[in-house]
Amino acid sequence: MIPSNLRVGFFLALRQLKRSNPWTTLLIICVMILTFLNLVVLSGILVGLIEGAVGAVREHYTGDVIITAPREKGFIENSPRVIQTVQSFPEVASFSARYTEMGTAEANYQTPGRDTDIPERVSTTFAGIDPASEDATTNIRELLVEGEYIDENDFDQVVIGALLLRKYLDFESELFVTLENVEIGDKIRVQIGETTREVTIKGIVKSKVDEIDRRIFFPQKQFRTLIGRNDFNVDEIAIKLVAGADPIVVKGGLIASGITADFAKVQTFEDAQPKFLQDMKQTFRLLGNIVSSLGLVVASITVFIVIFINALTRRKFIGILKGIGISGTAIEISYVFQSFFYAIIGSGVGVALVYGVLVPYFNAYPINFPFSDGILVAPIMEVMASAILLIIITVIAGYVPSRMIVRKNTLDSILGR
Amino acid sequence: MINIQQLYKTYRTGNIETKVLRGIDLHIADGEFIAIMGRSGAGKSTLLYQISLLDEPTSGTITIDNKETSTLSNQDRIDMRLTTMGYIFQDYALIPELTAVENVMLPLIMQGQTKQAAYEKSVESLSEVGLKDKVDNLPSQLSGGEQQRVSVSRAIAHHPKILFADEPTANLDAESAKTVLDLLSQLHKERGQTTVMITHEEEYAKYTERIVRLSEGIISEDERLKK
Repeated sequence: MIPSNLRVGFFLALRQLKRSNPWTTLLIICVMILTFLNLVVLSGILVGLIEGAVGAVREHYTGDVIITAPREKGFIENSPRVIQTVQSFPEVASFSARYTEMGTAEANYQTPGRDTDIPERVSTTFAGIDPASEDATTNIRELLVEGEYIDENDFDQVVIGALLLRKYLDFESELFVTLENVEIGDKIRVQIGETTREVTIKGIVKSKVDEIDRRIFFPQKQFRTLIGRNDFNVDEIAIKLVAGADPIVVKGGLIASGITADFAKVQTFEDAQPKFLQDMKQTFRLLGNIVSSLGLVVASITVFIVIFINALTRRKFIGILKGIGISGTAIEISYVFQSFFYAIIGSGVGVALVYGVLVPYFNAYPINFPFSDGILVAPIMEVMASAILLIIITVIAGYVPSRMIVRKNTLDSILGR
Repeated sequence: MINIQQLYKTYRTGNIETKVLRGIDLHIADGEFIAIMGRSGAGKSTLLYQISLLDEPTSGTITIDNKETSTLSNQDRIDMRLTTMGYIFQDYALIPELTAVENVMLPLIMQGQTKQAAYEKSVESLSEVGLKDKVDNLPSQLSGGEQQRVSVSRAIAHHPKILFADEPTANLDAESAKTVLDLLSQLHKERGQTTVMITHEEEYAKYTERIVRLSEGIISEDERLKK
């Protein structure tokens, strides 16, 4: 049997909601929705900003799992065997084995200058790739902003990262040396070790991943000859997994298969994240939480004021209810039910907006931040926790003012004293 | 039924002390229909508030059904108001967002009755006051006289032992006032509950069996009417 207080509280709440001014109800619910979105979206976008950067590194550089050379070694030993192992995993959708080497690139060297001029030269990483495998793994072709992608049989033709070119850099910095006046079809002089060659720019790639945008890509066949690597030992292998495969499981499997730390380092995309990205993610989450907390305080004050004014203007009727024997608890419960209703509707509409509109929208049209394509990160558990938090705060914010008014002397309330 | 002894009520506002009731002794028997009269400020409403447990006296005792009310807890007072008493206020005091029948149902649900039982009893009670066709009307859709009849209906639906009416006809035209008083009189005859009514009008006081007149906080006259 439901206690009378609860039944009367619900009876009153339902009718007050049904017959109250619809605009007031709409206004309160709008405040609830906005508060909920403030709770979820703001921190979600702040985290999503970093998540976008992490996602870009995963998609265009590391893949889901990346195998790199140990620090003390120049390359992954026994690369053919490692590649064979990688290929044997059913979870692997594609992989790209890359040769990398440091070197310099020089432009406009044909233009005569004074003897004192410093040559226009940048230090960079050169990567020898199998164009088809690289594209299958990192979708590099879609990053082309000018020119064409390289073919495996191309010779002395390269794809260059946009950040090595002055025209793609928004700022000027002594530390960030770039090549000026370089267009598709222009020649640049590259020096890798003792070898110097003149190569043609076939394409320019631009992403939001520095490792891509500061590299020069050669077809693997020529690059191996260029660096004199005849043992097929590569420097990094980016692995893309089939949808739904767990990178941690695959990493464990690879290590268990003998790709141990002695000759290669196996990392998931998360392990390979730069520490500053992880720190920034935490920092932004914290910032988001602080801003959201303020939003929560504002919402609770709003509900408090709304319920307080409502209870205050109805003080006479609250007095009458108490006068005819309705318990104060039942009246308080009626306000708690009303607050609960506002919070449930507000959170419910908020959740629908987040998952029905905002997340799909930001996935389709990420926010174009300078260093990442920002998405909205809204993990279901965190969103539910925010909804529950909002409901609890709102219910308290509704209960306190109603209690303040209900506790007033019955006769004073009836007589408006 | 109701026994009042040496009842005093003093209000204090800052240093100003206003003695409203100055030693009332009154016995109201079971089933009596009594009118309390007096000029404005005589203490009529204050006396009613003390007897009906809406307020607490400064000193003196009120005994209802052999229970000394000053010994009752707050919850006991609420329970007594809910189960033993019925109230008719001067300004009807209906809850604006509840329909006529819902206004009547509310105390019945609070007493633990099911919604269905409360509804049926409330419709029956509204029928008794001639409002069967207006059970679903909101107070704003009723005339003053009809609202007061809803108020009467709410007060009597649970068959209280004591009915308090605080100037129930003050805001009504003569015709509506007569309807309400006829109703109170008829209910009293049929149910025999104790009824305490405040009124300014001699004409309306004649509906009762006894008139107690107050003057400056004391009983100046206690007259039993011959019927």
